[in-house]
Amino acid sequence: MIPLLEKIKSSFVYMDGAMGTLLQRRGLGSGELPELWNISHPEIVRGIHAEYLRAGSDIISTNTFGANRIKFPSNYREIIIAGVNVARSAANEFGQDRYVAFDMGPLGKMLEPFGNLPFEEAVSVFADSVKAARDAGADLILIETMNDCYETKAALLAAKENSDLPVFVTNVYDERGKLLTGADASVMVAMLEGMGANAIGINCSLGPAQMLDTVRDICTRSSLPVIVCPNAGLPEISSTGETVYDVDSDEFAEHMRTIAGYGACILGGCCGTTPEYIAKIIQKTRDIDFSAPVFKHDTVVTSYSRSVSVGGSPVLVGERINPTGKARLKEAIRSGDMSYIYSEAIDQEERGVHILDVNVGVPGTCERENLLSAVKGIQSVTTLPLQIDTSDIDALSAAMREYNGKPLVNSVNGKEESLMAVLPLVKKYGGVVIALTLDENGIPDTAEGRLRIAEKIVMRAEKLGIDRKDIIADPLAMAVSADRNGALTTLRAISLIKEKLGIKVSLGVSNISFGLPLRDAVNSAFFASALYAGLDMAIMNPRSDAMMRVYYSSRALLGKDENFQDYIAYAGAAQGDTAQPKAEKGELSTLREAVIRGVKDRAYSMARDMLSNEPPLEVVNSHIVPALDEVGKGFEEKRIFLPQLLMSAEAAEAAFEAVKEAMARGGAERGSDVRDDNRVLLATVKGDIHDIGKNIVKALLSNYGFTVIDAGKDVPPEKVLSLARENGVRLVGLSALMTTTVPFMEETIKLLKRELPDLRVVVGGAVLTADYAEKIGADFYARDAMETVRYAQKFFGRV
Amino acid sequence: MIAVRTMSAAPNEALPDIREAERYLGYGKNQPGDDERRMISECFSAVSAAVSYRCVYTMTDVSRPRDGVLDLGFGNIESASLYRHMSGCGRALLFAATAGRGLDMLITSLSSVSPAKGVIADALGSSAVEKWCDLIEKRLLDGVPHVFRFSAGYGDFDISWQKNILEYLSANIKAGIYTTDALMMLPTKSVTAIVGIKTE
Repeated sequence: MIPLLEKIKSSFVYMDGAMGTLLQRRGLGSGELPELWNISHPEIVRGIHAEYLRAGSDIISTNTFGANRIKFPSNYREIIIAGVNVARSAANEFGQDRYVAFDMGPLGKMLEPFGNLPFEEAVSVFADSVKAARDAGADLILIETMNDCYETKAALLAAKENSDLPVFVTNVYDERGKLLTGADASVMVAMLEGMGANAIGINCSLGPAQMLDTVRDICTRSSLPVIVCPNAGLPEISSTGETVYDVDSDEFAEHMRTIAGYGACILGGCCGTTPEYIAKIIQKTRDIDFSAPVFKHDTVVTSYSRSVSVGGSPVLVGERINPTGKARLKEAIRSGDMSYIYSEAIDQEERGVHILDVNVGVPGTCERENLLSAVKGIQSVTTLPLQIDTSDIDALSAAMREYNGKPLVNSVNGKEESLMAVLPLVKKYGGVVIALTLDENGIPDTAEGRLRIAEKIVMRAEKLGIDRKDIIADPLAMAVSADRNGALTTLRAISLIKEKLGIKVSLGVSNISFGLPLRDAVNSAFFASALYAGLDMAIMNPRSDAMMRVYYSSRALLGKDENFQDYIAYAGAAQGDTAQPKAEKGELSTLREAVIRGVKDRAYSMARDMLSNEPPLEVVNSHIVPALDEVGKGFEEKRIFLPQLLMSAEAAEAAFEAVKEAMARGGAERGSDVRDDNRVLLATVKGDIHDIGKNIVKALLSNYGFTVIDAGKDVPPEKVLSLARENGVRLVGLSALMTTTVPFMEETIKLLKRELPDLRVVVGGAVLTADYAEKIGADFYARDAMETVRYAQKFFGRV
Repeated sequence: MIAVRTMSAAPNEALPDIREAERYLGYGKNQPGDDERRMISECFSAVSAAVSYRCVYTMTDVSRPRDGVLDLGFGNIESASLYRHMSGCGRALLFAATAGRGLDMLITSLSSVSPAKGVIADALGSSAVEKWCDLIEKRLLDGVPHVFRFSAGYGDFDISWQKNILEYLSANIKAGIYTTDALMMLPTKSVTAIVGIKTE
């Protein structure tokens, strides 16, 4: 038998068509599970495989689309083994060079963070399926009909970790060329190639005519053989009550010929296609000259829905999520204050960066845990790709594994220890890695020395099978205050590395000005020179107007901004910013008023001004809290409504932020310790994924001076208990939105009351009533967020 | 045997209704103030840009195996409210619709920096998916006499049917709509519905 991986590089390979459609024609009832027929009707399944083989399919896929541990907890293994066996016995009859693909479809559950299936659980379910198929002797794994980038990653990871078989992956794209979760071909090609799939492509959802553009897009980006298996058009019910599709085999094959012309070389069908369709495809494409896919040299980093290509227009990496020299961020990381980290992420995105650096290394904390939750959390609030920035290999490995997309990794260097640790992770999880030009002997003084280290890293990566397109050299900007030739050496190294190695180059720009006054001036001048020298990517601070000006103007000057479009848009916005805001907010005269009206930035600046004259506690108790109280009363009297209540809460939060900063400057790193006696633990109960109500309560409680420990949503009773214990909490707030999740609320209360009898529980949520709350053992039912605040105030004896 | 089709719409074809969202936010007959109005209008633009409308649907016969029981192809539904509601309907449009995951992400993202924007976007999102359902009905049943749409969870039509409907329509594969074990819809701004078509 010709190894499949050789065959796909030398000729067209034909897959099969629909299984379900044919099973239905042979009596599979609606609502009956097709996979069970591997056991109950193996002769029929075998017959369908044989028909496809007779039509000319080189690869037949097993009848195991939904055969996984979630759908068939007790017998998935048996179903898979039977499925592989029956396909194998059919293939054997057709002699050599016919391959059995283990067909693996989606799990039918949405993954975290948008759903509630944990990534590792998905990997483990796929892994069990892969092991069964491997043991049964499948020739390859076919991961198909995947509409979620993250689930595709879980399946591919499971396939690679549990077998040595070739892996083919096909996704479902819509008419606009996107997965349901937003990824387009550029994202999927980059991620799947990076992780080591052997062939990739598209199946299901559309007929061949509607997928032409997407197929062409995949073919122009992919270095791997491209698979295309369309539906036979759209389904309709015929006059005899049968489901029929509106593209017949001739029309279908005609389109497949066009598709083969684009460069797709593994062809087959999906819903509605039959052996006749496959035979016609073969007939129509037989005479086309085969050409193997051409290797593409694009350097691409992605999130789950957005890709950034490095090497064209310069790429900006926002450096703000890095605790070095930032007391407030350090405190946020220590206390797990994710919303502060999110706001940094969103702010940088709004300022126009393309990638976000994420570094959460703070001494005395678990970096693995922090990095993992930061990466996952940030991916739930922004679609920008991330640069995972850590020297902790364990943390890097965990974050790369659970990252949704193809990450940028910061960094590897020329030291043996670093090469050995980082490069295998890049190979396994796929990624683009920044290569720092330093090694055991430090940072070379010359551009040539830095080139040599970059070259060494490239060689070592290539030895592991990582292409140089996935290495971005960083020739290191060193403080010019220490070496007056430092900038020149780095600039020369940029050109030299690009010329000699043909790889992309990045710099952490801000280092250059270390130790100098007016750093922005030096940074931006250096940035302009580096861009001229060919810099592809810069790690920088997007809050610096000087840097952003250089970025937009240099792009335009270097011919990378057609018609100066982006520059003009930037200039327009920058000029507008300085002209507009004051008039609108001018009439606010006091902090109290700013909080009541909910004007965040004014509340912050007024509090900051006030703090230079008044002690923090005075600002809180005489200005912020009375304002909040007034709004709270208005809400209770139905004069003020929820949005206004929350806007005030946010303005108060901004004022508190100024207070925290003042206290951090005064040496109290943990900020407002006055609040620590009043800890309230909040959780949305198990099964419940709507946390908007809990978040409202959280916003108000924190502004009324309570320390809120936010356990999140979908929290199991045991976790609520352990958090309550760990934090010595006396008051817990639970939220549930649905009748189906209220039972978990009851269970949580029972557990808490049994283990911590002195604890009080306040509950809220759309379907609760005071009577029901009492029945399930809650101490108080809060109709809205203000009632929770009032209860908490009473409970802690503050009123 | 069913023929399940998918459909989508551009965001501007089903814009959220601001008045409806204000009702969800508890304003009742009151008007929001200027500051709130500014924020609502900002969120309106963001929500309108974040929705990604999809739906999966089929037209199906309605049979009545016995009194009080309906069969639309995915099991015998014992629900007095639905049975009453579907009286005179021999066919039905069955669909699952969503405003998409990007909207959930927007709501999460806004909530994390501004709880006020979070609740406003949430209310606008609820209105958006209702408008999308209205559009689906208009596109598929324009001029066809029908009753108003009915969802699992209304009256005594048990909410657990949501799962059966989604499975029957392969809604997870075709439209990216799922339920959790606790029967919550994902993306959160999603709806399943039955629209009875009058045949008598």
